[in-house]
Order: sequence, then C-alpha cells, then structure tokens
Amino acid sequence: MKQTSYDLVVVGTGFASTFFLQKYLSKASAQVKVLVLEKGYLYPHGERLKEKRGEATPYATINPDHEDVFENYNKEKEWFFSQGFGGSSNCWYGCTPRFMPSDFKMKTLYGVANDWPITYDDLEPYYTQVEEIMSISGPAGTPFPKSSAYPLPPHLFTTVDKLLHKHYGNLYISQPTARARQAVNGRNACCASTVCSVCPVNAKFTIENSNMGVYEDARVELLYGAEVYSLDLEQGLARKVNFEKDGKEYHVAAEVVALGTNALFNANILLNSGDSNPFTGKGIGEQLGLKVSVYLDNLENVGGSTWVNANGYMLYDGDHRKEVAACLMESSNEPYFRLERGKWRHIANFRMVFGDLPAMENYVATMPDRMKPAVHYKGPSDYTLRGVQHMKDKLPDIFSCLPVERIEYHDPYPSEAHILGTSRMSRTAAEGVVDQHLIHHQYRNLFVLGSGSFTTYTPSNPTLTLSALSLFAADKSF
Amino acid sequence: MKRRRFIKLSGLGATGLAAIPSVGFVYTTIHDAAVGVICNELHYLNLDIAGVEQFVQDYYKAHFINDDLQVQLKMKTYYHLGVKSTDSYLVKELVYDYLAATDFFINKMDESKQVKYLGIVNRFSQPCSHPFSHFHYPPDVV
Ligand SMILES: Cc1cc2nc3c(=O)[nH]c(=O)nc-3n(C[C@H](O)[C@H](O)[C@H](O)COP(=O)(O)OP(=O)(O)OC[C@H]3O[C@@H](n4cnc5c(N)ncnc54)[C@H](O)[C@@H]3O)c2cc1C
Ligand code: SF4
Repeated sequence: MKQTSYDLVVVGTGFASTFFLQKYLSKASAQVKVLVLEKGYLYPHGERLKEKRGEATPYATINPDHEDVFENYNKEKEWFFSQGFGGSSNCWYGCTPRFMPSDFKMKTLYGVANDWPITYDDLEPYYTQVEEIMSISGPAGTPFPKSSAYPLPPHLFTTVDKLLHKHYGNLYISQPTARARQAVNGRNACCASTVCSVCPVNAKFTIENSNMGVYEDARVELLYGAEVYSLDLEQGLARKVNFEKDGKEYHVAAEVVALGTNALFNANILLNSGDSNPFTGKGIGEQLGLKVSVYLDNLENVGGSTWVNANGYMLYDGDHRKEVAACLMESSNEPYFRLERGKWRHIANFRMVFGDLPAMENYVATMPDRMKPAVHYKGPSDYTLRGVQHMKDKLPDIFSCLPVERIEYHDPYPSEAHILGTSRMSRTAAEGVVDQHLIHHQYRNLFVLGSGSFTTYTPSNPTLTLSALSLFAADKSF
Repeated sequence: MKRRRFIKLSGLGATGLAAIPSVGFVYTTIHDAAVGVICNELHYLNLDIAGVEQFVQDYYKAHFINDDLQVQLKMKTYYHLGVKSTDSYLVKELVYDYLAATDFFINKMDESKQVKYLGIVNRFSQPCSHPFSHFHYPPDVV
C-alpha cells in the first residue's frame, strides 16, 4: 500500500467492482488515487484450463475453495461463487438476459413485496453500455424494450427452438449471452463446448479477458491477498477499511468506499462493522431452477451454436405474478441424448427458473471467525413453489406446438449460483439498506454494490443487471 | 482385458453379445462384465470391440466401482442376467458414457457404420465437439 488514505477504496475485483470502477475512472480527475483490495489472486485462464484437463498447475490452490470460506446452515441448499481476481466472472456461464420492466414494479403491478427505487428506463442506457463492453450476442427482437441492437449477432436456434420461436415470436428468443457468437475483442467464437465454467476456447466474457483497462490505469493500485473484514463507521460515514494481508492487519482511510465482495461477504463486512440497519444481511435468496425433459415424437432436436440456446418468456410476465412467481425458460443445448434406438436426439431439455421474494428468515450472520459469514436459509417461498406448480399446469399447453411424447419434471437444483439480497435497495432507510445509487442509507460515502442490492428476485440471471447498476451508481454519483 | 479372452468369455465374435454366455459367474472380471453389458445393450450396432474394451479400461481407471464390491457384484449379475439400461441406472450410465465417447453421433447415428471409440469425453481437451451442434447440422438444414 503506497498511501494511508485514498480517494476511493474498492473491495473485490468481480463484475460489481470492475464496472463501478470503470465508470468512476472515466469521470474522475487524473490525480485521484484508488486502492483496490482483492482477497485472492489472478488465476490465469490458461492455467484454469490445465486444471480442467487434469494437468498440473501451481495456481490450483492459489485461491480458497468457496466451501471453506462460509458456513452453510442448510446443507440441502448450495451457494456457488469463486474468489480471486475477477471473482465469479471466471466460472460464470455468461447468460445475460435483461430484466423485464415489470420486475422493478412488483408492488405497483402485482401487489407483491416492494418496488425498486429505480425503473427499467433509468437503467436502459447502462444495460446498453454493459452489453457493449461484454460484446453480448443477441437477437433483434426481445420481450424487453431496447434502444440499440446487440453488438454481436444472435446464436443459432435448434430445430425445437425454431418451432417455439415460430409459435411464440419475441416471447421465445435466442438467448442474449456473453458467449460470443463471433470472435471479438481477443475472445474466440463460442462453439457449443457446453463447459462454460472454464471456456476451453475463451469465448465467454470474463474480467480477465475484458480489456476494460481498469486495473492497468495508473491511478489504480491493486493489492492482492488483502482480505477486508470491517469498516470504521462513524458519524454517517465509512472512515476506514480494515483488512488482513499476509497475517498482518491494516487500516486505510478513504473518502469513498465501494464494497463489491458479493451478497455474502458484503453483509459480513457490514455486520462486522456494526451496521445496525435492520435489513443488513436479511433476505438472502435466489431463484429456484429445475430441469424439464421433453421427449419428442419423431422430431430430432439438432443445431444450435451455444450452451443455453434460447430463453422463453411464456410464463414470465402477466397477472399470474400476483399469486405465483414468474418463470424464465432456458433451452439447454448440451449433447444429451436418449438411450433408445432411433430416438437418440428426440428430446429437448429445458431449465425452468423461478423468481423469489426476500424473506427475513433467510439471513447472513457473523461468526467468531470474522472472515466467515454464516448463511441461514429456510428455502424458497410459497410464492415460488406455487410458480413451479403453475408451470407444471401450463407446460403441456405451451408445448402443444411440438410433437410431445411425454414431459418429465426433475427435482430442483440445489443452486442457481446467484446470491441475492442482504443489502436491498429501497427509497427509505425504513425499507432497505441502500438507495437507488447503491449508497448506504446511513453511511453516505459507502456504496454496497452487486446483486445484494436487488429489491426482489426476478427469474432472470443477475449479472448484466448488477453490472448496469454499478455503471448507473457511479455515473449518477460522481 | 485381452480381446481374445473376452470373445472366449462371451462365446461370440466381434458382432456383440446377444445371448448370456454360459461361463461361470466367479470367473467373470468386472471388465468382462462391463464389456458384455455394453455389447448386449447395443447388440444392433456394429461395435468395434477393441474400442469397447479400451473404453472400459479407461472408464474404470479412476471409478468408484474399483473399491465397491457390491457394485462390482451388481455389474456381474446384470451381465449374466442380461439386464438392460431401462432396468438399471448402472447399466444406463455405462452404456450412455460409452456411446458419448464414440463417433456414433458424429456419424449421425448411422447404424451401418462401425462405431469407434474416440476416448473418454473431456470437452476441456476436445472443445467444439458437440455432435448435434450447428457444425454438423447447419441452419439451412435445421
Ligand atoms: C458457476 C456459476 C455460473 C454462473 N452463471 C451466471 C450466468 O450465466 N449469468 C449470470 O447473470 N450470472 C451467473 N452467475 C452469477 C455471477 O457469477 C455473479 O452474479 C457475479 O459474479 C457477481 O459479481 P460480483 O462482482 O458481485 O461478485 P463476485 O463475482 O463474487 O466477486 C467478488 C469479489 O470480491 C472478492 N472478495 C470476496 N471477499 C472479499 C474480502 N473479504 N476482501 C477482499 N475481497 C473479497 C472476491 O475474491 C471477488 O474478486 C454464475 C455464478 C456461478 C458460480
Ligand atoms: S458453450 Fe462452449 S465454447 Fe461456448 S462459452 Fe461455453 S464453453 Fe465456451
């Protein structure tokens, strides 16, 4: 650490921090000093691939395993993420649908939970910017409004996708994705290897391959191996950031602090700091997903150019959201097949993903080990479970445009790998932790970034939106 | 397992195993049983037997079955009773993984072509090998 005090201290190097920092740097003067504290280290993509291929790499143990860094009090529920430079951008799958305008107005439209303090229209230009930076591939027509075309062309449909698109139009689209349809910005074209956790051809966007120039900026000092455990919160401000590095304690002063360590660790740091907002750490949740196999009568499901090939919105928006959770369909294009002679690929698998609502009984708490958050999660809400039943009731009709032999419903997955809530966004401090610019209601120089800020949990994947929120917050605040 | 020994065991040639062999249960190795199970299930395909043997060898290199006597016993029983994938997850998984590791799907499921083993699937080492993707089924034919 070169100084004892900085204009901005950012914690973490995932999507939330990196997009925030990029916008901040684009607006700040040439003299500002920024410190970035990252708990882990850079584990280069090429080395990650070696590990996946069973080859030795000295990096394999450089970052902690996610299971070792928090305590899970519900073993049936899993929470996935990866730590180190770039955070979970290293292991994410690159699905990037936007939210629907209605997702921001659940109370007004459906009488459910709360409205977000921002609207879709507020975020729209920032969605466009993130899509440009990530070089998103996507179709011309979408169920959500868009002021610009996607930077890359859409992925190709399978035979089944084609039929569903023909029937449902813009409610069934090629999935908007950060798995590049064409080579772009140093990345290669996605070729449907379907092992996106570490893409073997470097097709998906990651912070490492982003070329965003943030960590190379001369104003930025990046400190690896620096694990933040608390902030000094005094008189409505975050004064200092406290961290450990190489077994030593450090305290650094900051004009502005931005936490981007994800919804688990942001909450842990805030709670360790004595944040007494009643919503801090509360409401941790995510979507519920389950696989549906559709056995087809004499229809071969072939073609397609990526992993999640399409998104279906037939069960997303509508008045049913007053009673049951919205559902987003993902058409999965893994190389699965039926073990039945002559019917090998007469099958289509879908992942049905359901939204949820924050509940106070699901929460993050501190532990004697100050680095380790504890997660207490009871399970999905009845609202979500009713959504599952609603989907089962409706699906035969929805798929009636396909030659269906039978539909098989699988058990829910233990995780959708998204971590939401714990610092929810609200108009007032009486309803949440951060305001519409992700600034803590009580500590006015403290940004709490990421999907922890989501007011309600839509079925759509969170990362495009949390990245757009980071751009929005920095743009409006500096 | 040596190819000759398998053929002796099965009492059949390279065309596969349509009937249950009469060889004693205790003499059947786990590898023999697995090869037999695959050949039995896929009797209608022209399998390259050396490839099936190689697959089983590769497959079981680091498989839990090596340390689980019960599962070993199950596999042998399934082989001797001619149990099919519709009745056993163990059989289904083995046969599924074998077929996925062959050129059968790349050859568009053409039963007249001999099915050759290509190696255990590792898409990190063999990217872009999705046999149903647009590389094999371009948009104009889909
Ligand atoms: C397998 C998988 C697949 C996914 N697929 C998708 C997808 O297809 N689409 C989608 O939208 N989302 C997906 N996600 C979710 C997505 O990865 C997350 O939403 C996103 O990474 C969150 O970004 P973030 O910057 O808030 O946090 P993270 O990416 O988790 O980054 C947090 C950063 O903070 C650092 N850090 C943590 N604690 C500390 C500390 N105490 N001190 C200092 N630094 C710290 C970490 O090392 C890391 O750099 C997936 C996630 C996983 C695990
Ligand atoms: S589908 Fe394959 S090529 Fe495409 S991003 Fe995923 S791993 Fe990479």
